Order: sequence, then C-alpha cells, then structure tokens
Amino acid sequence: MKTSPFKRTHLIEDQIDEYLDKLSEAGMLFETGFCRYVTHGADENVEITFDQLSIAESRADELRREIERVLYAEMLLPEARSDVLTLLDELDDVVDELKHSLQGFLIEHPVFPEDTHEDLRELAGVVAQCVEELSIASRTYFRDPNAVRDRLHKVNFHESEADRIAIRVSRHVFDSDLPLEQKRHLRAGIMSVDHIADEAQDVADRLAIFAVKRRL
Amino acid sequence: MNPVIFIFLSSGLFLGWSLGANDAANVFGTAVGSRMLRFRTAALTCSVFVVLGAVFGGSGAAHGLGALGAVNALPGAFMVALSAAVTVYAMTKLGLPVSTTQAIVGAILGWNVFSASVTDERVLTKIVGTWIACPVLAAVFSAVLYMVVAGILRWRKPHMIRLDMFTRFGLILAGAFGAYSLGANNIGNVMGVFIVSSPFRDVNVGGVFTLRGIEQLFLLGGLAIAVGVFYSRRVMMTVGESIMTMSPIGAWVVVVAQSLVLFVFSSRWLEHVLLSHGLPALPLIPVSSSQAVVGAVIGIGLCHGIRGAAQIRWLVLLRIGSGWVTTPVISSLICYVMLFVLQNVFQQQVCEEVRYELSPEVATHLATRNIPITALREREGTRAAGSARFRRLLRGEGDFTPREIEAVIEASEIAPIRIDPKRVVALDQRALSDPQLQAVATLARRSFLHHWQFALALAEQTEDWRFRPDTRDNRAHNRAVRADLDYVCRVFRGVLLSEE
Repeated sequence: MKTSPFKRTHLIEDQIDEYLDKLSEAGMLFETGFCRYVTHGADENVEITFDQLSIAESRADELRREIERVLYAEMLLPEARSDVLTLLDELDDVVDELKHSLQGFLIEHPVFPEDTHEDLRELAGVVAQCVEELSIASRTYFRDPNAVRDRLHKVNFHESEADRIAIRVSRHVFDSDLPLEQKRHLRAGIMSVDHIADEAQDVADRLAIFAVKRRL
Repeated sequence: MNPVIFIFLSSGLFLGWSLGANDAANVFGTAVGSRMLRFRTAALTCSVFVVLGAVFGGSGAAHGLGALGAVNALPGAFMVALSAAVTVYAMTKLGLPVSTTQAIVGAILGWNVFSASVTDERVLTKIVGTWIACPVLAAVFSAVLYMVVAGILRWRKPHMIRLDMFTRFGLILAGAFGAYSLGANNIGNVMGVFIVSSPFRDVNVGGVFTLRGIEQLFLLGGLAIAVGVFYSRRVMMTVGESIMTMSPIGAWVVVVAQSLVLFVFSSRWLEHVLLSHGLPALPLIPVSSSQAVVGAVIGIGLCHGIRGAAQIRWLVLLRIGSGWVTTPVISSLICYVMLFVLQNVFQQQVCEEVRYELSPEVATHLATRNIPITALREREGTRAAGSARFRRLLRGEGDFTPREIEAVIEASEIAPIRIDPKRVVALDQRALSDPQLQAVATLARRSFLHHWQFALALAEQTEDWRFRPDTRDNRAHNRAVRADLDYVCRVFRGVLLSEE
C-alpha cells in the first residue's frame, strides 16, 4: 500500500532517530557490561547485558538496511544520500565494535588486577561518553549541520581522554609482576576498548566533512 | 483562412520548439540537474504551465517587441522568426550559449534595416538595458531569497528528510510559476512578430467565453514551446551544474528568483499596482531566462562571499556573456540576408510599405502637442515610403529634437482604419469597458487616415478613451488606454487590409 509523502517522511525520520537511539543504547550497555565484567567477571548479568547489546546491534542493522532501501527506492536526498549512507554504515561499525569488544571479554576471560579496576571503569565511561557524543552529533547533522562542529570536538576530547587512560592502565599492567603473556592479553583487552573511541573519532572526522557540505 | 498562413507560422512554431528545448531548461534545469525532480515530472509541469502563461498572461510583454519593429507582412514575420530559430538551433548545436530573446531582437533589427523602418532607439535601449537589469535583478532576488531561506532553516532546523520533501514540493510549485512566467514573458519572442499580421480572429467558444485572436496565436506558440520542453532533457541536466554546483535549496532559490524576474517583466497586474502607488514600473518586454538563471546562480555564489565567488566557474560565465553579444549580431545578419533571398528569389513581400506624409492636418495636430509650428510648416508636404527615409527627410537642417521627430513620424503614418460594424460586435467585451465599446460603436462606418484621428474621435465620446496629464497617478490609466487603443486599431486596421 502506498503511503503519503508526509507519512513516509515521518517514518524515515523515526527510523533514523531509532537507529541513533540504538547507537547510544549500545554505548551505555557496553559501559554497564564492561564495568560489571571488570568487577565480577563474566557472570550472568554480563551475559544478559551482552544479549541486550546483541539485540540492539541486530535492530540497528535492520534499521540501516531499511533506511538504505527507502532512500534508494524513493530517490530521497539525491545530494546527501551517499553521505548519509556512509555515515550510517560507519556508525554501524561502531556498534559492531562495541559488541565484539564485550564479546571478546566473555570469550577470553582476561582477569584485570584490582588496582586497575577504577581506571578501567573510567575508560569504559569515557568510551561510552564518546559514543554518546557521536550519536548526538549525528542527530545534529540531520537537523542543524552548522552545529555539528560544536559536538564533534567533544568526541575528539573523549577519544584523547580514552587514549590517555588506556596508556596509563597498560603501563600499570606492564609495570606489575604478572607473567608477560597475561600482560599482553590484558593490553589487547584494554586496546579493544580504546579502539571503540578511535573508531568513533574516525566517524566524527567523516561527519565533519559531510556537515560542511550541507552547511548553508 | 488561407492555409498558406500556417506555412508562414511554422517558423514561429520552430522558434517556440527551440525555446522550449533550450530556455525551458532554465526553469527546471537546476531541479533536474540536482536530481531532486524526475525529468518527466519537470517536463509535464513545465509544458502545462507554459501554455497557461502564454495564453492568459502573454499579452503584457508580447507588445514590447512590437514597439521595436512592427513586422507587418507574414512572409517577413516568418523570416524574422526563422532567422532567430536558426540562430538558436545552430548555436545550440555548436555548444554555444544562446538566448532566444536576443536572437529575436537581432532578427527584428535585421528586418528594420531591410524594410527601411526606424528602430526606436528608446525601445532598443530599454531592451538592451534589461539584458543588464535582468541578471542583476535575478542576482539580487536570489541573494535576498537565499539569505531569508537560510535564516528560516537555521531557526526552524527541519529534519533533513522533511526538508528534502518540502524542497521537492517547493521546486514543483516554483517551477510551475517559472513555467507560467516563461510562457507569459517569452511568448512575445515566439509569436510577437506575428501579432501585427496575425490571421486569427476572435472566436466565441460555446457562448461561454471569447478566445481572442491573439490568444489563439499564443496558444499555438505555447503548444510549440510545450512540445520543445520534452526535448530539453540534456540541456536540463547540464544547466544546473555548468556554472556552479547547486544544492537542492540553491536550486529552489534559483528557480524562484528567475521566475520572479520573468514575472516582473511580464505582469500587467504588477505594473498597474506599481504605477497606481506612484512607483516606477519595469518595462513589459520579453527578457532572457538564460540571463536570469545565470544572474540567480551568481547571486547565491556571492552570498557565500569569497568562498562562494571562488566556486563560480567564471570562464563558463565569460563564454555565456560572449554569447549575449554575438547572438543578436549573428541573428540580424542571417535575417537580413534571408529577407533579401525571400524577397528577390521567392518573390515574397516581406514588408508592407508604410507611407508617411506631413499633411497640413497632421501639422496642425502636432502643433497642439507643442511641436514647433514653424518647423512643421517648413516641412509640410514631406512624404516618403518607410519610416527611415521619412526620418532622413525630416532631420534636414536639424530643427526637430529626436523626440519631436518620433512624434512627427508617429502622427504622419498613413494607417487607414474603417470601423466595420460587424467587427464592433465581435470586440472583446473583457478587454474594453462598456463606455469604450459604446464609443467605438458610435463611430461605426467611419474611416480614419491616421491612428491619432481615430484616438481623438474616441476621446470625444468618453472619458474612458481620454489620456490624462502625464503624472505618476495617471500613468497606469494612460498605459491601459494605450493598450486598448492598440487593440482596437489592430482589429479595424486588419479588417480594412483584408477587405482591400
């Protein structure tokens, strides 16, 4: 059944908003799951959080595919379509990264020394904040491209902060008396978390260009 | 009606087709080029509104070209339109930018030279002036509009998807307005030269309304433009991108700005409103939609300051600008040569000889219009065929100012008119007021040698036919009387010519 252009417009707007909600939700779920993992290990609650993250990721995928289909089928946004689709694809990579990082901990079960817990929780918080700012910047891109820049500098700030904490924790781990293979294992875990912020920053860089192209 | 007439009209239809295939692309070019609208949607909207504009709004600007040169024989009009069409077609084929308006103006000048008719310098200056005013006005309109739209968008912050939908609707509406304005303004280019020699008479359609002869002529021209629109796909795709890459909002602003420019140069309503408020009105003459679109795009570019100016492809603009100079020159040369061939090889009368005589009666009439009586008496008896020759004789020792010479030429033109009662009944009731119609009816069966005699006779009958003192408040009235007078003269002069 054919819907009116107004209804269709509303529908796609809602889908884009929901997609960005899923990104933000994935960031928060990652933070909750990782913090819980650091303190309690891979218990049932972490598994539940991971399942929720997986559902959010699947829904985001579904939405991305639907938005992509409608944009092409209805020939919407002829000028910005490729930018929008690239943005959605890259945001999807961030959600994937969040899922895979938490999944890695659930598979490999690295055990972090207790004196790193506080830093690791801070790292997870900063990464989640970074993803949150990216989601807000993306939302702003659809409504007010001129204001995107103000949001993106926060993504960059959180990414630098995440790098700083990741290096600090890695150093701390390597300064400890743990066996080398465990040190390397822990560092890989820390880097997988930090990598999410790097990924978010890459998307932010692309978003800055897309926003400039749309500025009036 | 003689079917040969349609052979002569064919060149106008060819010109209409060319205009549709080229200039119509200016209306929807940016929208189709930016892929906001499908070509089919654009072409359909454009063709419908071009016809509406031509038939219902075409009379405003169409007479503008008549003032430049009254092409008074069908074969001549045929060749004028054909020369313009050939120029447009050839230059388009060669990939050179071209404007139909300039082509037709050039061709009329060629006819003027060939037929020894005077080119009204004031009208020519006015037309050439619009070639500068039109892009400048379009640039101002588009810059202001763009800033207003940008301000609203920054304030309202609509979602990108919603903005896309509104822009599409906006483009269709603006394009429809643009197509209407194009039809209203540019029909003068296509059929303007046929007005004087038009074969169509007023037709009453089922007793509901009267389709005037001029409207039938414009309907035919409008249909030719509409057909041409469907051949404009390639031009449409390139117009939007050739000067500067356009955003959809930019595309919308360009279409609106361009449409407004075409509208202000063709709307009688706007002219009336401006004049009745004591404001200066723009001349109602066909302007180039190509120039308007170029001006509008530059306007947006300049809104962005140096960054925007750097984005404009100035070399492309230079090429377009050079086309504006070469088109009228090439067109007038082609027209002159082809008129010569048509007259001497095909033995066709390309212009009707218009005779001028400064009789004592004309001199007395002119004296009442503050023309120096002694100079008039000295020239009394001067007669010539063709306004250019007559002007040369008048100039003589330089007793008259250029304006006075114009007035003498106008008054001395021998243009016999006979008020045929059958035609009085057929006069368009919408165009004239009741007192005006009554005044014409009173003069039934009378004949006049000069237009001014007819005008004076009408003025004696009713206030509605009288010119008022030339003050700001009276300008709208005087223009309306002038237009009505032109209409009735055309009707009764045509009758006399066909009876002869």
